[in-house]
Amino acid sequence: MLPLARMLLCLLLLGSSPPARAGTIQPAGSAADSGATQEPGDSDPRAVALLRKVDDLWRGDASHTVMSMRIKTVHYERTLKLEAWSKGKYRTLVNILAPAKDAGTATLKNNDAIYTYLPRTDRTIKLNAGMMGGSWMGSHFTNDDLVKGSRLSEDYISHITFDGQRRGRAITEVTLLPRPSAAVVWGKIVTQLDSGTDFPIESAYFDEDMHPARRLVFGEVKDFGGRSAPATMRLEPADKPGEWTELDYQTLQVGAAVGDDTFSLARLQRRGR
Amino acid sequence: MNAAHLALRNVERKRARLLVTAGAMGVAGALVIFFSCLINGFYSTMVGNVIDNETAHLQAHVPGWRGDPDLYATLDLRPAALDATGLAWAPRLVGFGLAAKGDASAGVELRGLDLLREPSVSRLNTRVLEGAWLDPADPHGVVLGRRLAQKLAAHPGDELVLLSQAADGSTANELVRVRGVLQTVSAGTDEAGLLVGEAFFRDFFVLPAGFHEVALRMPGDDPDLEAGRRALAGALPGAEVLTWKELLPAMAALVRFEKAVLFVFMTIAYLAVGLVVFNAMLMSVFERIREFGIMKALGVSPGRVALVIAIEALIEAGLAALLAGALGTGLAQYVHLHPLDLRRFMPQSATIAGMAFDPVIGAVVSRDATLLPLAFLFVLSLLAVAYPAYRAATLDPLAALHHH
Repeated sequence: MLPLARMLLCLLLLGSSPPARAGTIQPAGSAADSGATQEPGDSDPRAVALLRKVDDLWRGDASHTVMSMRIKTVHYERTLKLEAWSKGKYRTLVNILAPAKDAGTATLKNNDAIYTYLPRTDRTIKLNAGMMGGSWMGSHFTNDDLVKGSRLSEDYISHITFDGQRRGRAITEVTLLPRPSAAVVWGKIVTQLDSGTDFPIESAYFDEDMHPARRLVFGEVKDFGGRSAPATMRLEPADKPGEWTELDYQTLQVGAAVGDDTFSLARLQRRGR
Repeated sequence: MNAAHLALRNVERKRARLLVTAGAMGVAGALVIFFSCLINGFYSTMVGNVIDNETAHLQAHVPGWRGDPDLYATLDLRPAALDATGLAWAPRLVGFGLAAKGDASAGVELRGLDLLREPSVSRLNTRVLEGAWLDPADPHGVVLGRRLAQKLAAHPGDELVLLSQAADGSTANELVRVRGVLQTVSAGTDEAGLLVGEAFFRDFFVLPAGFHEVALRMPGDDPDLEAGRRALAGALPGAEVLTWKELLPAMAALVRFEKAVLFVFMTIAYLAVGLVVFNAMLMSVFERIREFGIMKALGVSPGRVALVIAIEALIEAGLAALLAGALGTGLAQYVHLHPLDLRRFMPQSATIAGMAFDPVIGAVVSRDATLLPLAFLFVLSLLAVAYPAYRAATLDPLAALHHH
């Protein structure tokens, strides 16, 4: 998929390179749950395999996508049209196509570094650590989401914490907890998947005090030239009721031919222009 | 012969001792007055800097804005109502973003100033270290805090990129040119302050109306802040109005601490003086035991004897006070006109409680700084003679007449 969405999805789902030690898992099943709740072990190969499968759904070696990003806040509502390219887990370029005021603004993620090209000033800025918690393009996603997404497997351990019927639907729930030594933003991430298709349905993020921080809700599954994936993704911050950012994928080419030079600083500026 | 007459005669007889005792007290008193005026000057300068460069006397914001400086939390300005207060006021805008020069970047607090009104409430425009102050004719010219300029290695004439998020959600970005770099005025301004004109701020943040802060300046050195609060609150209903003491509680606490410092210093200095007076009075009582014995034998009451000694002490204290007042205020006045320059001891600018510390300290003579030490001088003299007076008053006349 789509570079940006991939980065974001990575954040949710790619817990999964070889799991190390497990933390304490709190089963997230509710009273309405009718399935078996699995106790956590030191490692959970099934959760790892499941997340890899989901990841593979969205990720090829390279991708190219066009999507719209709708942002609703109490102060404004706006829609941006984005085009994005990705290669591997660590390189992404997002270019804003519309509206005219922001068109040409481009964001390049290369490993841990984020650069922004600003056409109005014709300058490229490397974002510093202090800007990482800031909003990305006025949305509810942060710059940190872009950087940390591909590093989730290094920082979190994943386990299946529920498998069964929930609200009349077959659900598999994967919980990600931070590794004890990891410096992370989230205290816990709980992702629910459709047990039949293994598509993600919803992810809940909890802060370090285990209070809900935000929710990512996946929309209907759409066919993108033979490859199916949820076509929308809506982020809802818990502390701002009524606000959200929604990504809506219009085209998705996984396995697209994307050259390495796409992610160079020189290209960033050229593409912006 | 009344007690005052007796006391006068006594001090006249021992003129040398009077001069030594009163001289010692006077010099100590003068030092305390001088120190007191110096502390007064130090704190006055610091408070003056705070009011001149940072807070003015009072500020108004949307309630809670200071804890969460939201770009959207603006006050509706009512210029006519503010003008009706008869006080100087200036509106300010505050937003946050990133400034970059080459590979260096830093978080900045953008402050949009009304360039016509701002000089009536602050003296920031006179605190430019390098380059020049903001100019309405140069809307893309900005003034930076000193540490911020160092972090970006920026000097007047250099170009910066500013990046933030505008009120409409769009990406705010603009090229600006550094016009000036400020002296150290406060830790906050030093680290992140980026001053721009109001028009540029509004354009950059797409914020057509409203202000985040209204600063109010009152005339005089120590104005009635509560009266100012009422005036500002009346002109901006619903706004939260805070005095500089509430805006900078650490600084206000430091100023309150001034009185404690002075009290401790006075106590120590006068304790030493008190011992001198005590010793002198005790000697003078012992020398005159026969004399007091005769007075008591002639029917003078113990109270009158004690009164004579107390008046003697007061005469000494009076002479000492004259000396202390003249010498202390004279010295303080000299240091007021020729301030102590401590810059050679601290080449780098420093801040105390987040505010700039001025290494050039001038003394300020005030009523409190002068009269308080003098009052202390009289009280201590009386305390020091209490025991000698008691001894003299309770003498047995017969034993005293036989005393050698």
